Amino acid sequence: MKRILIGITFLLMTVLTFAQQGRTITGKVTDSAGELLPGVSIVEKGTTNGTITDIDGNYTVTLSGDDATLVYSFIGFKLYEVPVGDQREISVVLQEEVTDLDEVVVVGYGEVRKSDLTGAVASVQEKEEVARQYSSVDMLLQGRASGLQVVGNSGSPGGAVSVRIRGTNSLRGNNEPLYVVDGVIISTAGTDVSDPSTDANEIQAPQNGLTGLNPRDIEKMEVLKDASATAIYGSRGANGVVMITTKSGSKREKGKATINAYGTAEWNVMSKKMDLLDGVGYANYQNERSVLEGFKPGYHVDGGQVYALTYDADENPIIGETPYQQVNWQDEIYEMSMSHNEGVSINGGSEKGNYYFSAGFSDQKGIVETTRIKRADLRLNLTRNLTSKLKMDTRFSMMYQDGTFAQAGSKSGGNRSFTKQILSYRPLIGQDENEEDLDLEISNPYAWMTDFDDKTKELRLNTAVSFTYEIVKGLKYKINGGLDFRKKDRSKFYDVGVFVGRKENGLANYTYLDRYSYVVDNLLMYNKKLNGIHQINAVAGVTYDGVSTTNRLYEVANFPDKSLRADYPQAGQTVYRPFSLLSAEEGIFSLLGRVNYSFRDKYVVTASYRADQSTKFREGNQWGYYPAMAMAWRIMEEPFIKNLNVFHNLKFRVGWGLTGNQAISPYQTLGTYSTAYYVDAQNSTLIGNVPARIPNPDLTWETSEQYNAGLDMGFFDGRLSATLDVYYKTTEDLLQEIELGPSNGVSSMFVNRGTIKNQGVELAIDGVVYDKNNFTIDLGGHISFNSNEVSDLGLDPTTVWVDGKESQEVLYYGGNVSTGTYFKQPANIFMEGQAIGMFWGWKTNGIYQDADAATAGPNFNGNANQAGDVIFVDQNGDGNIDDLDKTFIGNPNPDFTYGFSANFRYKRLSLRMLFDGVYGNDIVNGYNMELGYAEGLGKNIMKEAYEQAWRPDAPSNTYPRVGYSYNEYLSDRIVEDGSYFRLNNLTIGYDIPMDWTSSLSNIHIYASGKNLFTITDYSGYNPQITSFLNDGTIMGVDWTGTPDVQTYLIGMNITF
Amino acid sequence: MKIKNNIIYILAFVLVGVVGCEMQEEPKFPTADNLFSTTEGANTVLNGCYSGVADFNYYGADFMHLTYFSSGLFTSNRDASLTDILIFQQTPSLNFVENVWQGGYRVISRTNDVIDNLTLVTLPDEDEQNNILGQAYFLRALTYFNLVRLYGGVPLLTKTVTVETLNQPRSTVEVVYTQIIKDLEAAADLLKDETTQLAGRPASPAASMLLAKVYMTLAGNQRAGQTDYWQKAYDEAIKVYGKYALVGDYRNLWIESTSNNSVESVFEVQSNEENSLRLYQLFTPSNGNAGRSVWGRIKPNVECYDLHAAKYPTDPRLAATFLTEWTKYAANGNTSIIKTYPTFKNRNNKDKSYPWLNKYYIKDHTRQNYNTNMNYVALRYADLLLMLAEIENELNGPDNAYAYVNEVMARARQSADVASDEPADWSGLTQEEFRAAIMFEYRYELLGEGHEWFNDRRRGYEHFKANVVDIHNNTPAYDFSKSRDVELPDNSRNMLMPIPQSELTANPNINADDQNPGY
Repeated sequence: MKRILIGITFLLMTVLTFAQQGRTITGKVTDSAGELLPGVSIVEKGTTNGTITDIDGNYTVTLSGDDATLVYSFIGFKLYEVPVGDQREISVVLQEEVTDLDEVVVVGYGEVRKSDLTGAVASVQEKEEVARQYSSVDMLLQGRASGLQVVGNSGSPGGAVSVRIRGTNSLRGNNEPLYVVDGVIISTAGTDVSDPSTDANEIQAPQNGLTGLNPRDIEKMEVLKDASATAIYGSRGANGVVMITTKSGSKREKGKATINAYGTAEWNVMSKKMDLLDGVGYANYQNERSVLEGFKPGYHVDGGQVYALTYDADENPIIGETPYQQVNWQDEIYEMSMSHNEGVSINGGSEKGNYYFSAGFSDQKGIVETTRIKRADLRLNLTRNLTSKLKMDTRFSMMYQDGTFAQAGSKSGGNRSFTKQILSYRPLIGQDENEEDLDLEISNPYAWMTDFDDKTKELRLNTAVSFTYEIVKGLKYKINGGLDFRKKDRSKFYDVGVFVGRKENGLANYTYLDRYSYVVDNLLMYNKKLNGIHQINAVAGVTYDGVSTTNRLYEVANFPDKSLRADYPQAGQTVYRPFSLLSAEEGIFSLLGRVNYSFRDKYVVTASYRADQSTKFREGNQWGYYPAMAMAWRIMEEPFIKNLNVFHNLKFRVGWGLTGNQAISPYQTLGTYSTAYYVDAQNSTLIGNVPARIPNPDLTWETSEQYNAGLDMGFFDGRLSATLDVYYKTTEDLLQEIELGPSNGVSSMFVNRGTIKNQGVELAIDGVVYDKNNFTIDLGGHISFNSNEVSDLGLDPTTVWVDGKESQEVLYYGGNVSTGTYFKQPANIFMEGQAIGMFWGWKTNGIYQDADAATAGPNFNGNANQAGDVIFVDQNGDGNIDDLDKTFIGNPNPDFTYGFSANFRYKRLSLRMLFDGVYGNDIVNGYNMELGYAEGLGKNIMKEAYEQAWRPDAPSNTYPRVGYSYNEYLSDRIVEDGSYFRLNNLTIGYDIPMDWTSSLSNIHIYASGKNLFTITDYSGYNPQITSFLNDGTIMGVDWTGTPDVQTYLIGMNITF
Repeated sequence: MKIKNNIIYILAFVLVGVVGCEMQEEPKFPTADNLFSTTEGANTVLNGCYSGVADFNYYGADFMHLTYFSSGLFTSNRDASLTDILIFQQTPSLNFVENVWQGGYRVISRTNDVIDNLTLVTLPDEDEQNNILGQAYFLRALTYFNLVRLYGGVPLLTKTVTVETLNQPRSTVEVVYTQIIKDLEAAADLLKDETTQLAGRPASPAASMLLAKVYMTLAGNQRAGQTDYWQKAYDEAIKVYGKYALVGDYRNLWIESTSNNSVESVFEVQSNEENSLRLYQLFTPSNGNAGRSVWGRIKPNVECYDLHAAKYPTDPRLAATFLTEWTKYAANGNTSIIKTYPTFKNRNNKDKSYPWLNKYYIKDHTRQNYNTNMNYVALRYADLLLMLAEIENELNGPDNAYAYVNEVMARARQSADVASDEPADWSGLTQEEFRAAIMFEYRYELLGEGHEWFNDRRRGYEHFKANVVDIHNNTPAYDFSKSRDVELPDNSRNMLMPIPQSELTANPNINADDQNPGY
């Protein structure tokens, strides 16, 4: 309905007058089934001239202009336009407009009428010009549906993104929903190439696994949220399912094609910078530290300039002749970048079938000069009716991308990260390289631009072919075969300018991924209305799903000639990782079935069942069974409601179901060995085998049980609709990679342990607020509250002190944040009765102002304090700050997430806005563990931390003394409020009047701003934390995330 | 209808095909069944144990980080962040505290796997099977011996950890030592002797030498009359006497072409350029070679030099042990000669205020990186001679002890281009004097070889305080107002390291109440 209204408005506003011409056009209007349509309105575009079809669907119209376009409109059908040209007879097939209630919704292994939907399903459909602005599907989902939390950072192109549906379902790490594209499962959102590095302190930055699907090609997305909807995906349904339908061709008269071409250009600018010491401030800081340590200052500051200060043999000072160049590395390295994106699509169809073809190219650049991704992709979707009963549907897409991901740097997060070094490298250029840099594992930020490569090439093919045969009316058999092939090559090269390359005399490493996943579905589908009152929609099937993954790894160092960089590994003299091949196979065999029964369109019942057999578990644990039930009552159809004349729609839904999760690596139940090396007396390398893990033969599925109740409401002829859902979800036998005491010989293993609960409320409202006088306002909004709790861990209690009270609690800790000096400890605790992953650390209470207070205060790990040290709160009052004094210092889980959209249209001008936000979560700001302390190393720090540091003559209660070094631990000093509110996207569009040409049917130009503002108290670069997206044991920790950007974009879209 | 039949066939075919699929995992990785069916396979698992011993977290580097910095005899070349451990303020989450524990237990779990599996089967080559088992017992005992001395009573795991046996509590020190003795007795039994053992692998006498060290540690500062551990130590040490020999020139122990697997080597961790021991990075300054690529983290304290030079002014071992003049590379490739302590007396220069340890210094300073074939000698025969001298002195006084120590002295004198008259043969000492002297002799002969943390502590805290802390704090060369020089605290908690934070955190059977005293 909404679209018709917009269409009519659109029509009316293009009223222009033309000279009479008097040519007569005749024709016939039918629907897609060939039925004649009487009463269709036909108007000559831009005029009031028009007619309607007669009882046989025939019409005759006399044109008033030369280059006329006829516009066909009819209630319940899509608006349709035809440029007349020199035609005399124009017959038209109108496509049914899908209304709210008759809209078909894609669900697992089939589709149902929206009115028969019993589960919690959110649909996301975005205007093409907006969808195109996103480079991945997951980012497109952000802010657009209730119950979804999407975390990504647009500042690092190609970086990993996390999508969570209804909170944290699993502690295993990967909480990504299952993506199903045109019926084929693409569950690779959290997967990436293996890390080839043999250096324990090098961790490659994760990249987005959901490549190869261009948002441009998406017709719509359905987010299946509750178990009654996802249980049909059984062991992979627990995190929710995103069903993606790609575009198909639509029929036009004479099989004419619609051609659409577009181009956009965008500019990215860094949206926030940190306030660090400048050159003078840094020199003062270093000098103060030198004097405190009993040395002579190393810098001479005069007139805003910094000079070297050295001493001769008699300790007389020598001031350098030329001042150092002062530099703000953030200004120096980050710059505005420009990206562009072009593409074309062609679609059309006839009774025999239809086609959709699209191809695109994008060249994305990051705010670091060397970050760039070039990507080309194409898609061909074909459907063909082979016989009257046999239909073929093929969908093929291909993507190739070639990228350099320099910005993520090396070990995105640790000391060695590029991002971190831009912040901490001294803001002075001109002195001889300081050997301390090597010890601190830092490098000049310029070196990262010239001496570091991180190159990725990826090819992705995604195909699905299905044949549907109608055995008898209502009963269909469908065989569907799908293949998802992903080939990704990633190579890195470290030249001697960066720390890693320096210590190894050049180092190159390589990782290659080949991943095939394939699926075969055999489905019998029945969909029929019996006696006009019983609608039965059922499916039964057998499927097999296989994944075959091969990773190849290689690492070599010590390059006498480095000119060819990673392109010529043969030039490396020392092989650190000999060619290694890691392959894994996994498979799931399943039986499934679902019945959706609707009585008088009033009462709807759905029951589904799936049995999965997985190769990942041992006999006895291999099968998992996932039943679900749901009911819906369309109260609207009851006379007592109907007569109220208030509701356009009113439906009550309730559902229950079980879903599973098996997403652990293969072979965890087996005691296999991995490779290590040793050396013999002749200096030859020997192969060694080491146990890869503590095998856990009892591993089995993690099971989620979820209840959902929902209410769908529509008012004012559907102009206002609202959906309210409440849910309660428990996940048992959590599959977890638990941290073990190192005395066990390995640091972690997989177990089934514990139970968590999630419960929440989701509300989504959508409405046409105003629609008069060529002016339309649509508003939509959603808000989702989720709260979770660790309810059972199956461990013995241990003693903790919370707020000064001793108690026995059942708990375990999350993973260590870092392997380096700083933050080599967990940030999160998982304690029964508490929210998942609460921050656990020391509370602080300002700074010791004098020696007496410092002496009176508790020791720190047995060491005495001095004035200017941080005051830690001694929870157990034993006079010593240790592990027992840790307590809750924050909660990484948001109270609620929300988003709202506002769309305005006035005549040819449109304005679309999307806001999103998160409220009530805390973030551990890992930056400030170093930047927030004047520790006394040669690294740069925050201005505030130095200027407001405690000094005997300038007491401060905010920052400790210069030289204070117990900052590598987690305390509440670095916990911050992570709430934010953001303008995600603002797009202004304009349809150019087309009266000057007949060869084009539409030109749309638009301008967008993404991320134009973010309101937040968070002091780091970006409150969207992407540091440990795929590690469930570390939550809410910003371990040097990359800067965020604002994007300005212009684009044009031409339809032929 | 024909099509319908075909579809049914297809459906049936696919169904049968799928159900017929093997739904069991067949990993393309080695398994215990394969590996332990031959001695060759079992040897690869043993190599895995050795790779743990050579790992960065163990003798590769972190063992040195941990035991040298907190020994009181070494200093850090790193500015601020390592000074805490120099003054014994190591915290439970300090990298080195964590890593040595972790690296140690990695070796223990690997040796447990070898021992568990090899005791279940009988392989055709039973001698080799025993030899592999013996090496596994040896490595396990060595590692527990290191752990129990560093951390006190540690969790004792002697079987492969399963889901049922995860997260063991701390055992008592006595229980751990009992196991170490048992393992070393088994190792001495099973290992091939030094004439038949593969080069680079410990032979039977290596187990005896280690066992002698265990008994000496257990004897502590007790006299022979108070304990029979000295006698037990003698019984083991004497088994090793004459089985190895001293190399002719002390300097050759520290030169890449001659140092590896010499006649003097009793147990040695192997290295090559691909699998280089990182410890060489620790002792060579970052700008000490053309690649400017190493770390230079550890330097001996000035009293190490002073005491040695005072006792034996012309001892050739001084030059072999301390590097007091080195070539510094600037970023532009220019070189300069840096003279350090004792030539340079000021206390304010990072490059010059302390000498370097020459033993692990990468001597070819034209190298572009730090990789080296040089091994690490964990046990050598000179140590055995000093041990025998100490034991004999404890049991029977100095008379018969001189012979042992003087073998070491004689070799030292020959270790110069022109033989030196220092160090002179020992003679005319009382038992007390001999005891005091031998404890310093370990330092002169073995400085930086990984023994001082243990040798200086095994006679108790008072001994440690008098011989390390007090000597250091009274060294006149230091200026404790400069942060480069640190004053050592009188803190007995430094007799043990703290139990690492990650163990307290993740092991529910060890918590903060079980922490070592003082932490």
